[in-house]
Amino acid sequence: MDEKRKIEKVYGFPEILTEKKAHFCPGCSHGIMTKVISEAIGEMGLEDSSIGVYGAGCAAIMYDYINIKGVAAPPGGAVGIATGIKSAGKGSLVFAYQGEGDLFYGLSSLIGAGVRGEGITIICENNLNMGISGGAMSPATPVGVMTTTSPQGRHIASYGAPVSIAEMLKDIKGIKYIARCSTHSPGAVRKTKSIIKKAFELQLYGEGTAFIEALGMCPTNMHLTPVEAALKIREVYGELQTGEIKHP
Amino acid sequence: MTGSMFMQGKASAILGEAIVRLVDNGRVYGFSHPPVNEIYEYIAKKGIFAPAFSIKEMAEIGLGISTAGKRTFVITSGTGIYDCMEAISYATSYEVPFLSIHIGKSIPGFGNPYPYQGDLEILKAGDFPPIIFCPYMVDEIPFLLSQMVELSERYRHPAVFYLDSALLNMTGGADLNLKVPEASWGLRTEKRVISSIYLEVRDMEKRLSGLKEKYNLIRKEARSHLYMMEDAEYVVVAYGICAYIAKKAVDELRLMDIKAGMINPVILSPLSDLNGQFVRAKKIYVVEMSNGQLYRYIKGYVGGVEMKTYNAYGGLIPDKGGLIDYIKGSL
Repeated sequence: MDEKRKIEKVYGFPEILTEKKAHFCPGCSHGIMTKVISEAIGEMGLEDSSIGVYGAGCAAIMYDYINIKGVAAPPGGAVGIATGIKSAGKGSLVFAYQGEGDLFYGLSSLIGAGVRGEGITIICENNLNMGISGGAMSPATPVGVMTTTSPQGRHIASYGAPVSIAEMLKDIKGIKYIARCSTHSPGAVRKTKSIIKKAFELQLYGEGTAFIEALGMCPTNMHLTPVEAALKIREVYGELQTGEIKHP
Repeated sequence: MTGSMFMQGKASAILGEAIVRLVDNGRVYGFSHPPVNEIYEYIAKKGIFAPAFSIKEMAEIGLGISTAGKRTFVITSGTGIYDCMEAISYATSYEVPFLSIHIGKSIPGFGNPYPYQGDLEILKAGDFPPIIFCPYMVDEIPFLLSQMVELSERYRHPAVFYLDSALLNMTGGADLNLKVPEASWGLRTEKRVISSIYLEVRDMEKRLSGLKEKYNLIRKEARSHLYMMEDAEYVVVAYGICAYIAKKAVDELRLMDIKAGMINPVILSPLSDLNGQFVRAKKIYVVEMSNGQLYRYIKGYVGGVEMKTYNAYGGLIPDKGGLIDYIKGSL
């Protein structure tokens, strides 16, 4: 057989992912998101022009793992800082990465950026609790879920109903792209990556603000094994509108 | 922007023009509210205003612009500065300039829009407080603002331009030929990461030692305006509009053969070393619009000299005639 065999690399360690040992708990979705964002930036060839702004919380030192320019923002300040950085350098790809607790802390910055249509990408890793606080209730914690500040489980009478972040932002005209994805399974992770790439593309084309809500696992604070946590996220994910919720 | 321009008008417009000329980001994000709305209205006419949705957002965007290596300003008044304190703290740790303009209005709470100097102890608090510039007349606003920009960018340390709402509403004339040397910082340099997180205590200790060293250099930049201090026996210490009034009072006291002089800290924090200034002093009069904040601040410098305070509050301004009578009555 003299048939020439063509060798093509189909998978590898993302080039901008550093080899530093990550501090994330086993089964935590921040690690998955770190890899997915690194792959997206690497595949789009945007290593030199990307700037990540990481919100306060478990992923605040993500700059140690993704080898691009990075900023650790004050609590609730990632979107505001990202807006400022984009304003100062229109040519850069700027994204804010926050947990949902941190996002709510800085809600006025998120709404402000959305109303003005700032050309940034906001990635919200929604793991249904505030991990850095040891598992306190977040505005997105589902009814019935026990956290350190809702020890009997979240109930509407005392804590109010959970907020659906993506739906809340739908009516803001300057937010042109809204998507909800997840990291609970390999298939969901692949879809998450394609959504992130699309949001980044829209930023490069100047298509206003993009918002991605990525549901993720926090097994440690959910007191579940990584597999059980993934199943829990699948259950929550199944009850929500998923995929692209709004696009230009 | 450079180029000579003499401008006559209200301080809010002169300050607005100075901002327009100094900003290199093309945008100033702000949250318009009295009494700073006139500054925003001016810069909006010049096309560089962008609305923020809260003062916290404004401060964060300002910090972001500075982190990216560009120059902008954040403008606050009254209690609004509290929402900027976090950004000031982060700018200190990030080692990027952070340029804030703060208008002193009557507090606590909403109070009223009339002048007050009640923020001094808040602004100068902490281990590494921002550099605080304080003009005492309209004419020096643009020049001092450009000096503040230069210092903040040279040391990559936050700075606050603190003026009371009386000065903001006064008129004057000023040269707006502003030149600030080019500097680079933040993400515009080779720096890959801007962070204030040092989880290892030894790393944090090292970080603080570095900041301490830098702050000792900043201390050397402190300066005060001395007026007729060569032989002064009755020394008035004041800043802002109070210094403007006190200077006129000193002039009149001199005509009465009373050896009066004035110390006006141009940079309120860090405060210049005043130790040698009170050797000949028989009495010191602190004139201010607060409940003794400047009095407490300079007390450590005066040795055994008798100190008196002449203050006004609630939105009122110290009265020149009243001050002269007070000094004459206490000789």
